[in-house]
Parts: sequence; structure tokens; C-alpha cells
Amino acid sequence: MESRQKPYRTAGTCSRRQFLRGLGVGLFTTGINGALPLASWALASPRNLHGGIGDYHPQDYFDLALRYTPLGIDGRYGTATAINGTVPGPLIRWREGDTVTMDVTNHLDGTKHASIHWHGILVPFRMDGVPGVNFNGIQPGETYRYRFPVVQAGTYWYHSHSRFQEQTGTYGPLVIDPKDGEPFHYDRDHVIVLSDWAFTDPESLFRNINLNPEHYIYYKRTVFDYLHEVREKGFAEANAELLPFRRMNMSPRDLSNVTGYIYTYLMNGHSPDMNWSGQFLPGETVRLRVINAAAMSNFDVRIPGLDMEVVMADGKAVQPVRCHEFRIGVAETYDVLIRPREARAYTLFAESLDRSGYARGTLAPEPGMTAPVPELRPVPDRKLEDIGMGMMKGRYFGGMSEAMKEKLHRKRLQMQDDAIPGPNGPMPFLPNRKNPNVAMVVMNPQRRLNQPGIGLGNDGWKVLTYSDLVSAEPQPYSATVDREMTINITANMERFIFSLDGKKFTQQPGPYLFRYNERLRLFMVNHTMMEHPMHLHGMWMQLENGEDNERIPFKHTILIKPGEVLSVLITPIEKGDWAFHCHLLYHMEAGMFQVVRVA
Amino acid sequence: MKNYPALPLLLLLPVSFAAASEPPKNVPIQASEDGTEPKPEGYRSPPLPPEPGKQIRKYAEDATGKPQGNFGVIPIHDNQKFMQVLGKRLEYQRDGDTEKQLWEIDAWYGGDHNKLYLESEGEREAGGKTEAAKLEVFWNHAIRPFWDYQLGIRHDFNPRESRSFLASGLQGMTPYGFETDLTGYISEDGHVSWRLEIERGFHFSQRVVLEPRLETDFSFSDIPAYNIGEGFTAIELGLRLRYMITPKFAPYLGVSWERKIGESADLVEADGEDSEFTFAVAGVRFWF
Repeated sequence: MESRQKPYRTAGTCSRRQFLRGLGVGLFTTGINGALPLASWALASPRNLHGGIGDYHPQDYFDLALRYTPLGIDGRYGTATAINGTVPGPLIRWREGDTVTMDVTNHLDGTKHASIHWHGILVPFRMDGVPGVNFNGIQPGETYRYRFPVVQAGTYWYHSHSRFQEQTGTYGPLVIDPKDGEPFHYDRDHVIVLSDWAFTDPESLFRNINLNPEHYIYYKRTVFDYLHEVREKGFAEANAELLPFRRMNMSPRDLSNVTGYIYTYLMNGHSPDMNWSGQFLPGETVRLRVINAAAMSNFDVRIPGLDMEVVMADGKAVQPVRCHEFRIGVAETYDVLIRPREARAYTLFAESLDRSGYARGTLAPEPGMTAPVPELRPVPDRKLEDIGMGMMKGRYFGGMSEAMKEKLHRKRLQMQDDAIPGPNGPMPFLPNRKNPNVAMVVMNPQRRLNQPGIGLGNDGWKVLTYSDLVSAEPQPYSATVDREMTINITANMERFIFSLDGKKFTQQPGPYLFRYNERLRLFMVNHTMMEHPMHLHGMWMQLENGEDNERIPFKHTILIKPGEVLSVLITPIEKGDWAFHCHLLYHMEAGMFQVVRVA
Repeated sequence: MKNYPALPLLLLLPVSFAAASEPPKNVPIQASEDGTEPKPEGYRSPPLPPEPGKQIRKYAEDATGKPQGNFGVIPIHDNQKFMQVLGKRLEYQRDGDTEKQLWEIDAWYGGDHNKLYLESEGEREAGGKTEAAKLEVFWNHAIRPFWDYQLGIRHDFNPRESRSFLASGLQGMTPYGFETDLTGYISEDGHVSWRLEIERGFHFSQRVVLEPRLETDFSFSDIPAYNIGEGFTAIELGLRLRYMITPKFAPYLGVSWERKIGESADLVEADGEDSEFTFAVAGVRFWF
């Protein structure tokens, strides 16, 4: 028990030199940033480049302790629920095939419970770490021992699944070394954990967005935006696009609930000013393990001046695909290779989806080098077509005419013939105007896996899309689909109710039923105005993105666009109860959560 | 055929039912592997939900043991109750020599679908005499995505004899974002009236909002004791420009034009009071 009382603990075996270096940097930066609880795998600055995580060796035992820890960022101070005293937590590194033991102790007095969920890891049902689904949580003062065999490799992360602890810093990277060697060559790897930090207490943050969903939004459309559009496009066209939104009491700028106004976006726990900096040597192949550990922020990641080659998505190998930018939804991970040839600095730039801020770091061959930081792009406006409401364009009053229904019906038939797999397509979700939980039902959901998403794709460079992902992993599951099921993602943002099939979690009649070892096709239809990163615990979702059955990519989290329909194939391989939810923390807590029972 | 899309669906149902009720066998629910089988028109988008018991089972059998009961812990608190105090108008009004202070403050406690909702409104002359004050207590129930049904009571504290009302109405947002409060009242003497309030904010910048406001009262009976005549009794049009220092605290300036109408105007004038005012107003909108 003594070891848990240490205020500062690093993960992995840490050499003496490394420790001294970390200490030196810590003392140095203390002068600038005050108490800076950063783990040695994360701590870096332009003067002290991080050499990569090559020195951190896999272990099969970790001791994690959750404590309230003071945290200073850019001269402001808050309290974090830190793991082993650092935000993000320690780098956990396992080896595929090992049986690992993880002791997690909750020292957070006054909390109902704490927990650690191993995100994307296939574990037995009691080891998944969701209080109320897999166990009863870790009460203050208690230690919970997780013990399970590691049956996969790649880049993952772990986080608390209790209330808002994830927002206040209870997350960290998780790297698993494959037992048969990496599927590609690289010389150096860096972990890039993106996250968002608010100095506001998450309880009051949640209350603020509940009572006023636009509380933190400072990119609202103004009268002048409208006048500008009228001048650009003409009166009729501007109205035809905007007024149907207003008719639905929606805004074309429903991009996010919590923005850079309140958030400081972090890269490995460093604010943009602190500028996390990693080293590379010209000519090296560098692997970046990018993890989006944010509570509410989707990021668009790019490195001006460098091509990126995506080699893993959600920890599973994909055939290398080149791109210049990729969107990483909350809780997704991407492994990219970069091959910088010049001895210059590059900016690693992660812009939030709503363009309200960015996380930033630097990759440089020598200390003291920085590169220019790109400007934020303008805030995008959603189009009616983007949310599957193209039919509404130019319609200001009245319901659907017979002619429109006919047109819609035909369009559905056309659409389903070529794109949507399976015989039936998604079960239509019938609008129920009396359900206060559902503000909008998309009339015409579309498959949009080949689109990069809102605000991307118009910059003249290649942006990764889900249809670019081609699995390079063996496909162990049957090709025959046994069942189909549809889940509708619904919301009423005005009341801040988020729901599945129009029901909040506590209104659901019971858990969804998946059959053990069946092959299930799950359709998801997004009837909301926002992107939702949907996460399924305990089993892979294989995204049907048009590839052959042998090569559809494995995902644990899928960012589903507004008005989109997509389908995944699932083989439930562990019996028990599993969580299925939107990984935007406050959406989950507002009801977009469900339990899946595998029986 | 075109108008009966459920017919081919029914033919398909036994297949799906078999697949749902038996352990998975390697028979997919697919019409044909090669796609040569001609599909009837309308086959692929059934507009009707499947009949009960015929669909693929989506929920686990023991739906009585709700998932939120696992291990005695609730994973998600989506029924959280909140409390809010919403100061819609707290303002000083002036028209020539007439000076008034006015408040319109709401407060509520509750969850997403049901709330206890209090509305308080009143005005006092600068001298300090409270001219009119009312308190309404409602049960708010969400009946539509953007609408709450309100049922409750209202009590008027007047310089005259105070009155109580049974109140019932709608509160919510119309299409195009007009925040609306329409309430009908029956007084303890059996007089029926209603009141309508509409407001909508237009953003001129991220913090500057122009808010037009309309308020009107209608009475179905003459109540001379309260200077109320049958028909529309009063109308109030306001235009307020506010600056949101924070979303929770926004001072504003504006104008408000009030007028008594018809018989009510005559009654008021007979009392020697003005029936029409154009106020310059300054105030603050806040919530916490």
C-alpha cells in the first residue's frame, strides 16, 4: 500500500537518466507553469524534445491510484481526478498474450464510485469497468483488481466510466505490443493524446448546457451572416437553405455543445502555448499513435508539410492509406506513419471540429525549433443535404405533400438498391410528434462513408474517410449474416435529451439482445444535427464500408454523421452485459446510453 | 400492388421470425444471393412497423430486470433534476413623469419532462407602491419536442381585492424560434381570459441580441371593478437590445409601448389615468 502513497509515479520501467531528465524538465517548467502534473511519457517542451516511447517496456502489472491533484495550465489552476498524479495518466504498455493484472484504487473521497474502462479491449464481462453494467464501481478507499488475458495489439486508451471523471483528467494511453512483431516498420513512436480541459466544474458545465444548450457557443449565426448570404446567393437561395433549419428550431451551426470558449485543448496534457514537442531525425519513419481522449471534442489532425500514412484505425491494422488530414472522433485512435526528410520543425495541428480552438504540438529534429501554427478555418455551416433533410430545402410551411412523399419513397428505393447492404435496409423510424425526446426524424438518411464530414474536403488536400479504411487483419468471423437490427440515434438538443430510438437510457424497456457468436448486422441511423461517436464495448464493430467481407475494417468507435445511415457487422464473442453509448460525455450522461446483453 | 407494400413484407416475415426464434443457423435473411429475383416495388422500405411478435427481437427477454439495476448502481443519471431562476425582465421604465419598476422572474425545479414552474410578474411605481403583482404556480409537462403543457393556479396581488385563477396553457417554441407562452385563466368569479406572450431574439453579434416582444390580454367578460372590458384589453410591444456580458447576465436598453384597448381603455381613462404609454426601459436579463 505504501507505493500508492507516492505522489508522482511514472508508468513503465523508467531509466535513471530518463527520470532525471523528466525531473529536470519538471523543475524547469515549474517556474513557468506552476504545478504541472505530467507523466514522463508526456512531458516535453520545445527545449526538451521527447524522444518517443521506445524505452517504455511492456509490463503485466500496473498499480493505478485516482486522486485529486492540483493542475495548472497556462497560469490557471484547477483540480483534476488524476491517475497516479498525472494528466493524462501513465502510459500503460502490455504485451499481446500476457495475462495482465491492474490494481485500481479510488482515493477520491466524496465520489460515489470510480472506475477504469479499457477502451476497445476485448475482456471478460466483469473486467470491462462500467459501473452499473459490469460491476458496482470502485468505492472510495477500495481497490479493484482487473485481471484478464490480452488478446490483441495496437493503440488504445483507458478512462474512467464514472460520471464526469473523464472530463477532469482520468484517462491515459494504452499501448499493446504484438507478440509477432509489428506489421510495419518504424524507427520511433510517439503517443499523441488529444483531450479537452475545462477549469469549470463539470457538474456546473453540464448544468449550463442543459439549461442553455448554446451557453458556450460563440459562433452563432448573426443577422449579418444572413445578410451576407443574401448578397452572395440571392434572397431566395439564402432563405431556401436557412429557413427550413429555423422552421425546425435548429441552427446550421449545431456543431458542438462545449467549445473552445471554455475548453483548453491539450496534446499530451500540454496546452498550445506549452507546445508539446517530440523528436524525429530526418529520414526516420515516425509512428504517431493519435488518441482522442477528449470528453466532447472531435479533432481534425494534420501536419502542414507532411503526408501521413494511416496504418491502424482503432488499434487494428489497415492497409496503408495516404492522406493529409484525418478527422478523429472522440475515443477513436489512429496510428499514422510520417517520414520527414528535412531537418525542420513541423506543427502537429489538431483543430476542433467546430473551429473554436486547437491543440498543437511540434515535431522537430533539434531543441528550440518551432514551426508556424496554421490559422483556424472558418466555422462551417451545415447544409440541409448534410443532415439528410435535402427535401426540406425551400419549404417554409406545411407538411409533406403527396408528391414529396412519392419522391422520397423513390429516392429511398434507389438509394437502397446499390449502397445499403442486406435485404431490408434499416427499419424506418416513424416520427412520433408526441415524443419530446425526438426533435427531428431524418426523412432521407444517406450513406456518407466516403465523405470526410462537415468543414473538410474543400482545402485541396486529401482527407481520410471511412471508405478508405481497408482491413489488413485476418477476418475470423462468419460471412453469413444471421440477424439485422436497427438503432436510431435521436435527440432533442433544446431540452438536452439524448436518446436511442427516442428513449433515454432509463426509459428503455431493457437491454438490447445480441446472441452469442451470431453474426449481426446493426444499422445505425443518426437523426440528430451532430456527429456522434458511437462506442460498443466488448466486441468489434466491423464497418461495412463497401469493401469485401474479408477486408472491412474493425472499429470500436464510429463517428456517425448527421443524417447518416451506416451498418456494422458484429460477432458477440463474450457473454454478459456491455455498454453501447455515444462517447460524447455529456450526451451519454443525458441518456444516449444502452446496455447490450449477449446471451 | 404499389399501395400494399406490407403484403410482400408479410411473406418475408416467417423467414425473419424463424431466424429470430431459433439459434443462429447459417441462413441469412436475404431474398436471394445473386439478386436475380425481381423485387416487388416498395419491398425494401416497409412503411409500417412490423406486427408485434413478428419482428426480430431487439430487447432481451427479462426486460423486467432493467439494465440499470445491475449491481445496484445506475450507470447514467439521465433523470437529473435541475433548478433554475430565470430573470426575464428586471427593468426600470420611464415615460415622462411616469416611472415604474417591473419584474418578470421565473423559477423552476424538475427534470426533462416534468417541472414545478413558478412565474412571477409585477410592477411598482417609483414611489414604492406596488401596482400589480401576480404569482403563478404550474406543473409543466412536456407534450411535444418544443412544447410544455402548463396546469396550475395564478394569484393576483392588487391594490384592489386580490384574486385567484385556475390557469392552463402552453409554453414553448413555435417553428422559426418564437418563444411563446399562451395561458388561459378562469378567475374565482368565473371570468375567463387569456394572455399571450411572444418573444424572439435576433443575434447581431455573439453577444448583442435584439429581442422584439409582444404581450396581449383578452377577456371574455366585463369586470369593471378591475377596469377590464370584454375583448382585447391591452397590448404591449417591446424592443430590447441586450448585451450578454455572460449568457447569465445581460443588461439591456429598449422601448416598450403599452396600450389599453376598447372598453378597458375607456374604463381606465374614466379613472383619470392614461391608457397609453411609451416607456424607455433599462434593465437586466439574468439566470442562475
